[in-house]
Amino acid sequence: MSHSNEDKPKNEKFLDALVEELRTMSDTDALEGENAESLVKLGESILRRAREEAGTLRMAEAKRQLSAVSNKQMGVASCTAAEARSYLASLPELTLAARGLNELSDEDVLDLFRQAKALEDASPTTQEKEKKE
Amino acid sequence: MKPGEIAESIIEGFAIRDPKDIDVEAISIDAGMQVRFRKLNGCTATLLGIGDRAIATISPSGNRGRDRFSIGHELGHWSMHRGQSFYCRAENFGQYTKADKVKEKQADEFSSRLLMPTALLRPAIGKIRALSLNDLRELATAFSTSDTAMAFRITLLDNFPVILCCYSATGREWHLNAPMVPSRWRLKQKLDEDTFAYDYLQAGSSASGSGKQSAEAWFENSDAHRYEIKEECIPYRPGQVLALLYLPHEMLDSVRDWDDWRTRLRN
Repeated sequence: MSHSNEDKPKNEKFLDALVEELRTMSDTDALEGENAESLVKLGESILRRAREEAGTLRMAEAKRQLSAVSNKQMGVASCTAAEARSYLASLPELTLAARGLNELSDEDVLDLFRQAKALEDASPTTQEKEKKE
Repeated sequence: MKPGEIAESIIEGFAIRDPKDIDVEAISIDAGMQVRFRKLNGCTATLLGIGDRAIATISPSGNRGRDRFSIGHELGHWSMHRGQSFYCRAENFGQYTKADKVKEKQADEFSSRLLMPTALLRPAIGKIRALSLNDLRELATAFSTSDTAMAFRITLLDNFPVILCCYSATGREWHLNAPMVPSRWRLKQKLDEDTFAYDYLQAGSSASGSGKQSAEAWFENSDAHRYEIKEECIPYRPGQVLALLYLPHEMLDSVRDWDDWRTRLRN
C-alpha cells in the first residue's frame, strides 16, 4: 500500500520519523550514553504506547461509524418470498448463517432480501473500486 | 490460529484494558458487520454477508449478556466462515450437520474469548479464593455477560477445581469439568435426593441452593464418601437446574480407587 505521509495517523508518522532517525544514525551515536538493554526497553515502551493510541483511535472511529449506521433505515422489499429465496440462493460471495432458506418464514426471508439489497447498495461498484485503486 | 486466539487478538488490536470497553457492536462494525435487533422465528440470530460487508440480526432475548454473546457468535462466523452458508442458532439442533456443529462450537469459543478475554479475566479472578456463584454473578456483571457464559468460561479457564453440571427430572443433561479435575470422578446419572439441586428442582427458586455436603451425594465412586464438596445451584432452562460443584484439593490428588474398579468390572 502506498500512503503518502500526510494520510497517515499521527502515531504512525511519529513511528516513521523515529525509525528513520535510528536508521540514519551511526551505531556509535545510537548507543551513546545508553546501554543496549535500556534502549530496547525504551523502544518497547514507545511501541506499546503507539499501539495503545492506535487501538484507541480505531475504537473511536468504530463508534463513529456505529452511530452513523444505526440511523439508517432499510428499504421495502418489492418482491415475493419465493423470488427473494431464489435471489438469495443465486448470490455469489454469499455468507449465510441461519436456518435453511426453505425453512425460514416468508417474513424472515423478505427481511434477508432487504438486507442483501442494503449491502449491495452500500458496496462500491466495480467502477468505483477501480477508480479508488 | 484457534478461534479464541483470533478473538483475543482483536481485543489486543483495540488495546482494550477494561472489560467495560468491550463494545461488541463497535468491534463488529470495524470488521464490516452491522448489528440489528429484530424478533426472528425459530432461531436466535442470522448473519447475511455479501463480499466484505455483513448484517447480523439478533432476536432480542431480554438479557443484554445473552444478546452480546449472540453478536460475538455471529462475528465469529463472519471472521472465520466468510463465504459459506450453514445452519446457525436454530432452535432445532437436530437439523445440524457435523460440520455445522463444528462451526457453532468455533463461533461459541470465539464469542466467549472476545467478551471474556484471558488477559482481562485472570486479573479479575485473582483475588477469589474459592469460587462461588456470587463471584460468578459479579464477574458476569463486570464483563456484561450472562451468568451461564461466565460459568462456562471460568470452568474452562482452569483456575478452580470445579464441575459445572445440568440436571433435569429425567437425569443429567450435560457436565463440564475444569481440566484440572481428574476424569475418574464420575457424576451420578440421576440427582440424589440429598443434593441441594434436587430440592431446587422439586421446590423451585424458594429452596436454599448452596452448602457443603458429602461427595457421595454427587459421585458414583465408592470412595466419594471420604470427601466433602461445596455445591451451589441456580435455575437454568425451564425444568433444569445448573449446579456448580467445588472440589477439595484432596479429590484432585487422590489416586484411582482400584477396589472401585474391581467392583465395576465384576458388575
